[in-house]
Amino acid sequence: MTPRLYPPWSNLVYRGALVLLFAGAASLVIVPMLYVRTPYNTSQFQPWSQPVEFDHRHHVRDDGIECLYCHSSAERSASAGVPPTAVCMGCHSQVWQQSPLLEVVRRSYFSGQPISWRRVHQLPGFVYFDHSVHIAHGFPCERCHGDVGRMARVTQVAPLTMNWCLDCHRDFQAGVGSERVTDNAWTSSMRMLFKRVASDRRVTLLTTCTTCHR
Amino acid sequence: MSEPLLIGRPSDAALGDELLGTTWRAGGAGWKIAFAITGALTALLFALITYTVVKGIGVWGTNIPVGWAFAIINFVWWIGIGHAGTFISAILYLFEQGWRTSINRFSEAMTLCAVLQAAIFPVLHLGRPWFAYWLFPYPSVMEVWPQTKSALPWDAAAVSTYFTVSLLFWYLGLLPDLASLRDSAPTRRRRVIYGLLALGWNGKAVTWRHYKAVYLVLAGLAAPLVLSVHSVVSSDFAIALVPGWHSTIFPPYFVAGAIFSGFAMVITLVIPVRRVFGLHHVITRKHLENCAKLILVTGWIVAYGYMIEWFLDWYSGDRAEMYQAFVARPFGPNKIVFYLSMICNVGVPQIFWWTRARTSVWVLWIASLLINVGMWSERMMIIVQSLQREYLPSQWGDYSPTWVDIGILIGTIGFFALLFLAFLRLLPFISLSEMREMAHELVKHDRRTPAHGERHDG
Amino acid sequence: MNRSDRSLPLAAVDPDPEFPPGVDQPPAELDRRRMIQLLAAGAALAGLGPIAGCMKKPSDRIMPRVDQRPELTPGVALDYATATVMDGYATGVLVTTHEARPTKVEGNPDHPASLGATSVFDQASVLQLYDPDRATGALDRGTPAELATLVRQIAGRERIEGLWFLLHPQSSPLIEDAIARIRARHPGARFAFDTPVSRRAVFEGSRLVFGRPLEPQYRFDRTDAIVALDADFLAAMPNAVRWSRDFAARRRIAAPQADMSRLYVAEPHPTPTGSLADHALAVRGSELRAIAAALLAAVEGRAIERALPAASAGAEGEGARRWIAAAARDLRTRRGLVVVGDRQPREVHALGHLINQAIGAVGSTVVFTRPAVIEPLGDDLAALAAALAAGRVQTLVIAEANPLYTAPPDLGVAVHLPRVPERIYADLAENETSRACHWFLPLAHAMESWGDARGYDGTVTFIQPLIQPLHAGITLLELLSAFAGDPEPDGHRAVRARYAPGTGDEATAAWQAALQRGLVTGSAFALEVAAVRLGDAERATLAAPPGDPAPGPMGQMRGQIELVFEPSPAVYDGRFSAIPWLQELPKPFDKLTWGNAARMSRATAAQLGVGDHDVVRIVAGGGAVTVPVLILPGHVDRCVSLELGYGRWAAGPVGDGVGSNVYSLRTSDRPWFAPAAGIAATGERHRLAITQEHQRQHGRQIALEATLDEYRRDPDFTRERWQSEPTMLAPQFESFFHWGMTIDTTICSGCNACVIACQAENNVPTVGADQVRRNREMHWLRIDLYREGGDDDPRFIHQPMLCQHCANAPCEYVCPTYATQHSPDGLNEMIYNRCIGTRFCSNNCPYKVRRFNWFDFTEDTARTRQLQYNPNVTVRSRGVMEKCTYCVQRIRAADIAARKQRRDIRPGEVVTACQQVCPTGAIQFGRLDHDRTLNVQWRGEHRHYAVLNQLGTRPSTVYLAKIWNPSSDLPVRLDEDTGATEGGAQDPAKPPGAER
Repeated sequence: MTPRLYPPWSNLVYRGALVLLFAGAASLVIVPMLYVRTPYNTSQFQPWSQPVEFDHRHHVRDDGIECLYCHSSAERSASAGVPPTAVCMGCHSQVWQQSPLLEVVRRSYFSGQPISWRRVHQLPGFVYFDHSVHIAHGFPCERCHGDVGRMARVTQVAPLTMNWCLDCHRDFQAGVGSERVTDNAWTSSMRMLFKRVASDRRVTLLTTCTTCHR
Repeated sequence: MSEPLLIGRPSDAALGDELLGTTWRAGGAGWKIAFAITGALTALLFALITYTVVKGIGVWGTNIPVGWAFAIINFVWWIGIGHAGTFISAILYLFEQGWRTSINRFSEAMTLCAVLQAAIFPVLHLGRPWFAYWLFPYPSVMEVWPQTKSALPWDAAAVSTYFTVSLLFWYLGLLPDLASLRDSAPTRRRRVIYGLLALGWNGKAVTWRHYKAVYLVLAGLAAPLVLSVHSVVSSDFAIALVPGWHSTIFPPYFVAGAIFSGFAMVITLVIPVRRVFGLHHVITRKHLENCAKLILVTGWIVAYGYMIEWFLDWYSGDRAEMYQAFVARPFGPNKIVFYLSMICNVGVPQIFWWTRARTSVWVLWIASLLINVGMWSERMMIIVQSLQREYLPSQWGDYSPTWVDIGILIGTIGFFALLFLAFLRLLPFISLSEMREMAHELVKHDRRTPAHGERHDG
Repeated sequence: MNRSDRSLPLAAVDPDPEFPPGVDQPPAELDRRRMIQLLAAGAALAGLGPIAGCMKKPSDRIMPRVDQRPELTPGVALDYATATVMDGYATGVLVTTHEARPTKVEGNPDHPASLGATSVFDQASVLQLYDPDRATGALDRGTPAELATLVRQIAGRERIEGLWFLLHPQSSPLIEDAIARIRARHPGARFAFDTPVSRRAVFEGSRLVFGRPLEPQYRFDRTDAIVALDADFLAAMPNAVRWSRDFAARRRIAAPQADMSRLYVAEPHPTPTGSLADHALAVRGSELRAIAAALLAAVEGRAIERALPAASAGAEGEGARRWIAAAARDLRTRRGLVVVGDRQPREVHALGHLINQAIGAVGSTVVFTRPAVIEPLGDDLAALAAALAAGRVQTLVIAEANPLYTAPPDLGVAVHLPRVPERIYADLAENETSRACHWFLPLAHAMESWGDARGYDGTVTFIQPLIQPLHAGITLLELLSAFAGDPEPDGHRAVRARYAPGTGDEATAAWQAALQRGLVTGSAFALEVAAVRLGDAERATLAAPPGDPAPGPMGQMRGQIELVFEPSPAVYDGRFSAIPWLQELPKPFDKLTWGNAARMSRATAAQLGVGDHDVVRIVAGGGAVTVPVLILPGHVDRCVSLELGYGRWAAGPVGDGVGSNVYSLRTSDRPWFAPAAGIAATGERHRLAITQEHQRQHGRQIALEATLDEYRRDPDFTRERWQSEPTMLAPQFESFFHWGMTIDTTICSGCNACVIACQAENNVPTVGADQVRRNREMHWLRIDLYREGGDDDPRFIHQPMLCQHCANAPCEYVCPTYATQHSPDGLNEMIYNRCIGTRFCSNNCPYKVRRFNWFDFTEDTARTRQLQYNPNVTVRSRGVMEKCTYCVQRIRAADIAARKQRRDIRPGEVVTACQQVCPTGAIQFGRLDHDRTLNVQWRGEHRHYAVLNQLGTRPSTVYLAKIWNPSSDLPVRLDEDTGATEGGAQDPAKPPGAER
């Protein structure tokens, strides 16, 4: 009989080790899945510093300026557009002409060099988002951008992940806004409804891949 | 029984010394050289893998129309080789084939090494390997899942399952021998290590009972995998409409081919091992002969597969299919692989009709090598030659491998050999416990029928 | 994200020259590509990759404009009307600009030379703008100099002695003025107009017959029988784009009962026009004079033996005789027309005019105007060469022309030019000739310039700038004005002064309107009355059996091999060598890319004992070149055709050393057809980069054809290829708003315009000759060429092949990640960012239209060239599959526009890039529920079919079979194809032994 190798408690240790092993393996899969859903990964709620301390609270709430006054191309174009320096100067040649806060704006205006703003809402290059069509269907800006009027510095509130986009695009009532394609469809049987929806260009094209990826 | 399964009736102790000794005995210069060579080839393999991932798979010879080539050929080839192990250890076990005993562990190890090689390719051949995990179903924020209609996610599932089960099965079988290693280890360090691996095995009867039960269950689990894995692999091709792929015969024909090549590889490996360790009385001619017989049988199934394909190509009346089978393969680019697979897979096995061939070590060994080559060529014939000549002549294109392709193939062979050599050195490659069991049974058997007793020693 | 914000800095039409748009900023697409890589990397590191998350925010910047410009909306593309000019002939185009960054050229529907379509070269001109090797500044003896200073020096000088100009042919009224002013300021200034593809013979021909240079204006849309004598009027002649549309109008038949025009072509080697000919006669270029003379005799009812004495002997002569007889009959009985090619000598043009006169074509199917180009008014290169030799040239100004590369050696330009005391050169980029000059002045690209030019019919077309000059440059007009004494020439001022002198608001408004049209309406030339002024003597000499230099009656010169030169259908005369798109463009009949070859018939190759890819050494005209052989069925025997424009040595990294320079074989007196002094195999081999190596159908019924009679007898002869096969698959739900394309192979000439248009629209990379040899070209749209009949008289069928968008797509069900998908509106979608690159889809695509990014091809694309990228199409990263999307970006854009207006997409609202560019209009696209569109009507025709229909893929792309209209005198048998077997001798372009 060989002398015993291990003390009696080694079995316990061994089992514990096995448990840890499996737990570790599982966490390798689960932890990343959780991580990608955190704001840290989606870069939500990060107050980026901008070359000009532009305060939306003041302009939107105090002065009651419409979003579209500055982001004027949002109605016509895929891009909402950041206003040209000239738009800023439109007002600030009259008010706050001397404000040091606006030094950068004035320099840009007179030197002809653009102000280099930091992008806050960043979609990957292969995602084609079009502002105009969303606005045309009565989407309020807040629905994606949050209540910018209460932000000192604009931060991204929505996760901008694909499933977040799909939440709306799959909900054909929300998706088509005021078109109300599903009126009187509800009265018929669900089967009819789905057939109708499945055959409706306006609805089905909201979830096909090339709606956003081209 | 013309040839015995065990020559002589060694005692437990004798068997133990002999079979565990392979682990304790120090290796000579030959071993060092072998390890050096295979190690170098392994390094080459990983260097080329890095190169491919950094530069892109454009460094291979693949193109449009030949989108798959060496990577997939190697994958199918290695997976096929991987089949013999589980076939021997699981299916033959369920059929209570005594002769599996002395070669099952060995071929299981071969299986694991082979599947490891195979597992490289499904990931490496991707354009963007870093996204390979998209093949597995998991809840992503894209809310997109793998497509179950495609064969590839099933591939990933099948191969990983197969590897896992084979590993467990092999390790379970190892437990008693790990215990014996622990108990017979010369140094304390080895005792500790093997002790850890033995999971505190104590040879109690109850342990043995549980052990047997679990072994049987795992065997039952492993057996269907032998059939499923290569069926799934074959559907990578069978579900496509490429002339030469689009065929329902593929699953059985691939499984047969897999076992065919697997046994060939077993013979290729067992003959030198048996010579090096002088185990002629444990791995007898009987084992080799049985393998040869299986090769002959599966070889015929493969041949039948070829014939059915030709028949269907003709019967379909489809010009593309007929051109593929009767013009492109025998006369088209890379036609060499067509003739190689015909000669090696259909011609060579026929010599096993003769007992002398089945029992002659040299004939067996050379034949098995040829069959390995033949099966690789067959995969190249199916994959590359089919893609070279598809429906639109305007898009016919030829294929030739680059040095990277060839280097990776050689590299995997080296890596395979390295792992296998390590296994030979570190673990008993013949199941000691099962050999002892068999020895005892034979002794009992001899007592019951002394008349036969003499012949066993013949 | 929207690209427009990102690319705004590019856009900034920024007055500050220190910030030329785009050069200081990486273009938006770079960011996009980098984004994909980041994703990949991030995923690789984190080991997971939900698409939208997974990378830390890069420090991405938004740079809005400083000033406000009402017409510029970020993200909204603008089209500007301007023109591209080739050898003086202008084509009106609309150039799409994204934030003032030109990305795509389309035809100007209002322009008579375009009608909305464009040529290959027009498409590629946008990439020429972004050529990274363009000159960045002026040089004085190789050292950088201030352009303005040099210009002022020029303007300061007067009465320069021995002043010579060498220019391409010009049609610009403004340049005409400038030349007049130069002549006034520098008496004795001489102007030579030259291009390697000169059309002087055309004008000489009309001068011979009508007494003055005239430009024939053909009316193919009114012609029923066309005889083209070495005339590739559908691809290689100045007005080809317009003529293609006119030709198609009479060629395409909508129903079996309808009538279609008949086309006879006699030419040395296949051309796009020849591939549509009902009766193509392969003759050597020098023999066409005899053919023309015989044809004249035939239409005048005289015996043709006098013109074709040897015809009685030999099957060749017999074939030619029957061809002439049949052609003559059609010319007389139907509304006929004879077209003579620019390569032919003036005598053949004269004969052509006489034939047209004889059959009453003049005034009906052909009318005449004065030439748009002022070439005939100037000297030619020979005159300049003589002056050079005599040392009479003191100051030589060369613009655009590249004589040291293109001039025939016997003129000795290379010898004498360096002796000129003062040599000034101007072009977009430095080249062979500029290196031999003292001054180099960078020319501005047309898209950076103000100017004007005339279309083929004389229509005055405006050229306006679309982008702030990428480099300091001067336009030719400005350069000439400087010589006329203007120290600060300004193209814009000149244009305004001539076309909108007024300053008032209404004047400005009118000018704006004219600019938007892009042309001066009604400025086409008035028709000229063309009366034959030809004495009987001259007429007799024309009709007589010609002697030297034309090598005489058919049958002579046996054994001696004739060389035929041809401007490359890809890089033209070499001026486009720096454009990768064109270098990689598969040429119509040999599908050769990245180089030229000695193309010959199989018989001739056998005679020389050479095969494909064998390098031969050709000696002629005092020069010698080595060039690989390519066997070309349909090529006339005892003749070798060579493409000009290759073998350059100072064209920059893209063009240098590609192919062989055959200019050295040319002589000034025989620029197009010359006997070869010797051809011998060198024993070397050079593997040519060919994209299609097999042209036989092997009886698989891929590209269908029928004669008009057969079609009328059995209108449904294509039934096997459209009737749906029995299937076990569940019938799937067919949406009623399904997109589809229809392609009529009867009028497809294989001119390749669609290939380049697709490449330009969809950011398709080029991969280089080596990758092409490995079958890795990336074209989303290729033109498959199938050949029926024998090697000596083949029938060609061009089949544009792009993603068929199958309803049962084989690629879709094999993709493990759903990266290729079917959309509810019937598109086969390719989602690059979901692709992991298994290539299973490509393996399973029976049409092999999918392309794979084997390397990071975008990384290899020069940054400035990336400025051309279409921001509405994702730039693909390494390792992903890509393919034709039916221009889905255009479809979705139209869909968004429709949604915003609460309406459905209108018929014809979506036009794909290939459809838009097609000169003959062979491609139609649209939604299948828009049943009044051509697309839907064509699909209803009897002769429609789906390629590989038997596989049950149910393609959305439908083809119309090619219908031939052979003359009853020359019956054509569409026999079962003499298909090749593997390695057989039938596949011409296949390297021998490739199968062995």
